[in-house]
Amino acid sequence: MDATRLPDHMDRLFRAAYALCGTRHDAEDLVQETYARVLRRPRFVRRHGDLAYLLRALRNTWISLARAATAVPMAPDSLEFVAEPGGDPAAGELDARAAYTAIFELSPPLRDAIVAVDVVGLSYKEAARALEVRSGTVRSRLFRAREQVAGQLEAVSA
Amino acid sequence: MSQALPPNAYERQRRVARTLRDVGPMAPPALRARIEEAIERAEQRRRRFLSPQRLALAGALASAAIALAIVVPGRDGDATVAAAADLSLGDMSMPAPKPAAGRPQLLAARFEDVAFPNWGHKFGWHAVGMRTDDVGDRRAETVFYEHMGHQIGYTVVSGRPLAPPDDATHVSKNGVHVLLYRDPDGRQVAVFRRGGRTCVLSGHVMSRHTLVKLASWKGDGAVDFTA
Repeated sequence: MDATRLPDHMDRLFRAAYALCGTRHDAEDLVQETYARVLRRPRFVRRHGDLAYLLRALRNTWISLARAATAVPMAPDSLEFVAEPGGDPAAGELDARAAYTAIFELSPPLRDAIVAVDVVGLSYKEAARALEVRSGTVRSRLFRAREQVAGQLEAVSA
Repeated sequence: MSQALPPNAYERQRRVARTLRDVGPMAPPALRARIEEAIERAEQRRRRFLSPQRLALAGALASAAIALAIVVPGRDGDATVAAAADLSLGDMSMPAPKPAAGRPQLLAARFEDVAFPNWGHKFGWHAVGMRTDDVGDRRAETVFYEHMGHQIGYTVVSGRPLAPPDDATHVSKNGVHVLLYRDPDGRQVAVFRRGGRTCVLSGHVMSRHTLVKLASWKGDGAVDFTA
C-alpha cells in the first residue's frame, strides 16, 4: 500500500466511522486507531484496493474496540457536513444528517452494507470482499438498508 | 417467498444513495493533521529501513531516531503556512525551469521528491521563474507562474507538514484535500499536501477555484508528482 495515497481516503473513512460510531469524538478515535494499525503493519494491496482494505481495517478496529457494545444513541454535534464538488444540490444537509442517524440505527449487517457501498463508495464486489460475504448478500442487504433509511428521510421531509 | 416492493422503490433507493454520495461530514482538520504526521513518520521509518547505507545500522540508529522523534517534539521555528505564502511576493532569483524530458505535464524542477507541475499547456499558467528560501528552520522552493497578467507562486516546504490555518475552508477535489483562505493583503492561498510535504499556492487570482483547479490537477490520474 502506497502511504502517500492514504490521506486521500480520510474523508470517506471518517464518514464510515461516523456512521458506525454515531459521535464525532468516537469517529476520530476510530479513524486514528485504524490508520495507526495500518501503518504499523503495512500490507501489499492491489492498486485501487486501498479503500476496501481500509474499510475492512476500520471495521475490524471498531469491533476490537468494542464500540458496538457501548454504542450510545447518535447525538447532534457540531460536525460540518459538506457537499462534494459537483454534488447534487438537492441532496441537502438535513437529509444527510437524517440519513446518518438512520444508518446508525440499522442492524449491523445492513449498516455494514450501506456504509461500504453508499458512504465509502465501494462496488458490490469490493464491498463483498471487505465484508466477507457474497455479492448477492451485499445487494439484498443494501436494498433493505436503503429502504429503512428512505423511510427515515421521508419522515423528516413530512 | 416474494416480497412486494413499496411504491417508488427505485426513487427511494436512489434518493438515499445520492444523499450519501453527495453530502457528508469531512474529517476534522486536527484529525487530518495527526494522521498525516503519523504517515510521514512511518514513511521516514520506511526510507531509513530501505537505505542500503543505513541497513547495517538500522537496528540501533533507527530505534534511536524514532525514539527521538517521538520524545522530542519537532521545532518548526517560525515556519508557518502564512510565511510560506509570503514567498510568492518575493523576486524571482532563477530562470523558469524547462518542461521535464518525456513528461510534459511536469517541470524539470523537483524539491523534496515533489515535482512542480507544468500547467502551461493545460491551463495557460506558464512558469516564469523560481527562488529558494528558508522558512523558519525549513527550506522552501517556489516556482512562479503567470497567466493573463496574474502571477501566483507554488511553494513546497521541506520537512513534516505545517499546521493549517484554523479558519481555512476545506475543499476536496480529485482526491486532493485543499485548504483555502484569504490573507490580510487579499491574496488567495491554497494549502495542500503532496508526497508528505506542505504545498502552498498563493497569488491575486480572480477566483479561488482557480487555485483549487490547479492544486487538484492530476491529468485524470496520469500525472504522478512524487514518482
